[in-house]
Amino acid sequence: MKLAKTYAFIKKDLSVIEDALEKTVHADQPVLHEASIQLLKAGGKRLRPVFVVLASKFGEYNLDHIKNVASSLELIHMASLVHDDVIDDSNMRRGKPTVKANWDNQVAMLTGDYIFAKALQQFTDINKPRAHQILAKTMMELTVGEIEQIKDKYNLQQNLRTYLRRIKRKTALLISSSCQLGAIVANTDKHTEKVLFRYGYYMGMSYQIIDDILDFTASEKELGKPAGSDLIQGNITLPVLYALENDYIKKDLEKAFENKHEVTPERMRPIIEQIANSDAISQARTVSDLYLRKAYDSLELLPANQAKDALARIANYIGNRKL
Amino acid sequence: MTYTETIKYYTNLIHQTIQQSFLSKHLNSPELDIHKIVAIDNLVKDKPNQDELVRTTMLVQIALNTHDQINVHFNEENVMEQQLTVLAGDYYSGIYYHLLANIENISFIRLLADGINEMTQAKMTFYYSKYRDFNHFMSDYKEIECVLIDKVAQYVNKSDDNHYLNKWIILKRLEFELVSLQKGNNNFFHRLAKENIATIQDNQQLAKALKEYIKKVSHELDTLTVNNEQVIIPKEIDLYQLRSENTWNLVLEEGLSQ
Repeated sequence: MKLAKTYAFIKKDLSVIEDALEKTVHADQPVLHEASIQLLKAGGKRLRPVFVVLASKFGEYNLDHIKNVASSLELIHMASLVHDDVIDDSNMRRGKPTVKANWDNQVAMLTGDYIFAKALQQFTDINKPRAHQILAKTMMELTVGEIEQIKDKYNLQQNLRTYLRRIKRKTALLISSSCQLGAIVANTDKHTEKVLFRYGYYMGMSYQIIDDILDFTASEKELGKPAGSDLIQGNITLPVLYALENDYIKKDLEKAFENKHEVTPERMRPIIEQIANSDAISQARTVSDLYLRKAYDSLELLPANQAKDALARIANYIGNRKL
Repeated sequence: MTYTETIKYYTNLIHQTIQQSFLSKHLNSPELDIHKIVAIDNLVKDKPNQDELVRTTMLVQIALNTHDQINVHFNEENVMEQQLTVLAGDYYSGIYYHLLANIENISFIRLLADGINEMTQAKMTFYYSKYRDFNHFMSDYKEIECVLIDKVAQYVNKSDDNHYLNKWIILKRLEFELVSLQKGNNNFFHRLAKENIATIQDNQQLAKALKEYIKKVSHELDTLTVNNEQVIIPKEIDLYQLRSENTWNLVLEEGLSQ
């Protein structure tokens, strides 16, 4: 099943949000406009808007307000991606050229800053200080997560706790905040808001772990980049942490990381294959499944409605996704 | 507070605010546009949350200045520093939003976001334009330099008498650029001027153009003063030590404290 089918009943509302996104990123400056539209048209799952909309269904549903929150969150996500591509020196994302590849780093930096400003302009239409405090904290954590990722590169001494804290900041918080902000803008009760936040958090953690698994198990064609790219860049993800329990893999990796400048795709290929064929993948999947279980359990605390069913289907989809 | 004390006070406050152990370990402290601290402080004096207004506006300025340091393509030799520079700018922007959200000042969040929006659009045009001389270059540059100050003026309902202050800001910026050039620095402004202005190819030509423009703006400020416009901050205040350091101290100590 395609992801979009899991929430078909909000399709119309999502298309209103998509229109809002396109209107919001409109820039008078032609390069900025083109770069922003390119980013928007590059697609993506629009997971954050979906979570905002579905969470709002548990309260007073007002599409005008929801649209602002949903598009702001997606824009913040997009702004972080365009800067990430500069950081990672990536020329392709989702099989399409990045802004930095089509123009240069400077254009990518300005585009990211511009989209960030647009997101905040849009979000200030929401006159709820607590919503701003939540979003601001999430954005700070998102950046700290990225800084921590650079700090922990090539560090084979890190542990599970370090990894989980990093992915919480990097991925899970923006998804959990999407659910929470959807609840806040729809004036749900505190209990519902808290449950939705937790669901989003568990989903975000599971989502990132699966992403990290797919980095080893999916093909270069599916990924749009070489398998094991994270490891080639020095990022120690959950499959690697488990693989390090194998002495042979650990020794090979230690040796490969002795000189960071020699960490090339060719040099790393055999290690990546070893990890992909090791128990580390199933061990990582077990952790992802534990988070998914927690996400399902959270949903049990919510009243029955179409949105609840959709959130469960999304959890199921994410748990089984191939890419 | 004297101007020196004001600058010191906010410089310390901002540096404490942006302290992040890993960034501090690998990146130099961002250079602050101290003339803007003086200008913003002047605009928001005695307003509620004065410190937050100065601090957050400067954080936005620092964030955008930091991102200006990213090269068109990464230099292979210091990749990590460049990666952290991207994140440092994002981090400073995040703090601006965080601080204002905590004091529930949504209208100022909005104004500064408007400022970022306008500045990024203006910068994009500016960076990719070719200018036939320094005057044309400056006519676009002024917009970038004054965007955030205009937003603060708008917030405190002083947009109408912001004319003097904007010229003062340009004067101080150019004094800074001249001093910096004379010290042998080759910063972003200098590179941009040499690459994008047809009549300027080297430091000597740039220094000459800067001096001429400083003279012109200085004269314009004198005219505004003669025409009885309110002198908000004396134009002679030498923040960037265009004169010798001793003279600068003397000036500040003897006559220009607020």
